[in-house]
Amino acid sequence: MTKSDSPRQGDRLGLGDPMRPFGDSTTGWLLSQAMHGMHAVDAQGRHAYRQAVAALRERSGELLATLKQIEDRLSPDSYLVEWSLHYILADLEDPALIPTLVATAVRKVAERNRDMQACERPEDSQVLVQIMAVEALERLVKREKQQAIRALLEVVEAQPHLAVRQPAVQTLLQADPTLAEKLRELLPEGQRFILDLKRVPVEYLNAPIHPAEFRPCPARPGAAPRLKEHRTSPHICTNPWKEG
Amino acid sequence: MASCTYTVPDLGSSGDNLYGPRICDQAFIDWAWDAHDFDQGDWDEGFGYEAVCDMTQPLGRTLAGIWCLNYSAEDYWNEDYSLDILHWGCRYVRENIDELDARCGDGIAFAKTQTAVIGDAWTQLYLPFFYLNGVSLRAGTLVHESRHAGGKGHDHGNNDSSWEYNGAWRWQVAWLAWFVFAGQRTSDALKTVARQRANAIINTNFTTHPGFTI
Repeated sequence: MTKSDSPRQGDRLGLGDPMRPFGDSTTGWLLSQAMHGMHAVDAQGRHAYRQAVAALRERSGELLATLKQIEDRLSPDSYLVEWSLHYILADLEDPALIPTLVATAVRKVAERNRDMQACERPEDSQVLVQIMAVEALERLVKREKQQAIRALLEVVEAQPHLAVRQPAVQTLLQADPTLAEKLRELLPEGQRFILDLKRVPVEYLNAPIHPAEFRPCPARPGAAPRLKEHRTSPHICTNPWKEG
Repeated sequence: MASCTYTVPDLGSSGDNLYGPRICDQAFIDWAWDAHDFDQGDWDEGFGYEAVCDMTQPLGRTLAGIWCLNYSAEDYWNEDYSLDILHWGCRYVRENIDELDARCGDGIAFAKTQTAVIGDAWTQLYLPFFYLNGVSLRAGTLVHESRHAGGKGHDHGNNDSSWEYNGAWRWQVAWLAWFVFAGQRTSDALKTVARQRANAIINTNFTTHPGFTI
């Protein structure tokens, strides 16, 4: 990302060549196919995603080397691609990936400049990659419980950032509630409250709005246009013989 | 005028390959353009005005966030404020964000909103908003900025002091959470990242931790 200056008038954006991080190997190609299919919502697309994941499981031996090659080709702020790769790795549920997942989860998070006026920043995206790595470890608890627990404890010990540490703690407590005391020792006093956090139902998560805050804009259009219906059968029966 | 360059990540990684065909609809584009007060001068010169359906460019990616914001409730046409924020978040965004502009930015901030108290009212979206956020998180950022546009800033630096403050971070968490639990017409992956982002906000953007996760 580069910039020259930032006055009020419209800016000019040029796009660089698209990233091609997956290389020419079969494993790289399968990872790219999985990434293209991971947002599918139709049965065919979801099936293609599952097929790519199944094929990747068969190539476990090449996966780590391919991931390293991809990582080397990515720019430092390729958080979307990195997050997607870790989402796919979670679906693989391969214990051989544990060291890779731990390495991601314990990366140092960039220090937040509190003087800067910016609500959301790139480090928020970086943290999501690390949380995805923790959730991939969570998926492994049911397959390799002791190994996964050791890995998650390593994350709790080495990663001070609360947004990454908290889901690791939550997973550990679910996997083995007797770990509470050990976790209490690992956590600094100011973060021990996360041992008591509970998931709340969505109904609790309201955003109160007072009628005084309603600001109707009559000059603007209202709700979004209705979606076109996708019909798979005739709308009305035009066959008089069937209508009797 | 600032100039900037960017290398676009794989469209499969952000969900733009799912939402791209959806936004590429003249009726939706015309509606969204008027409803959010886009102006050509703020979205041309490489930001997408000339190629709205090109999901490598900022305008298409912003429209994807707007589509997600407006069509994720099952009964999306019901925007009554008595319902949950998944229903009316899109309406609040339309009614409070004065105009939506694209800019290069400083490479750090995702977005910024200025209210009319200072001068012109606008919400500017920057490169990290377009290229570091997946589609569902763009929708969440728009809800966040609309809360600022409605006059509610942060009360403790860039943090909200508490959940009870009812600020932009709470609204963003609430929208993301409802998207996770009740969102329609989207992928499991976009829900997963929305849940993670909501929890990350809960863990880092309230000075007094709200005391729960989603």
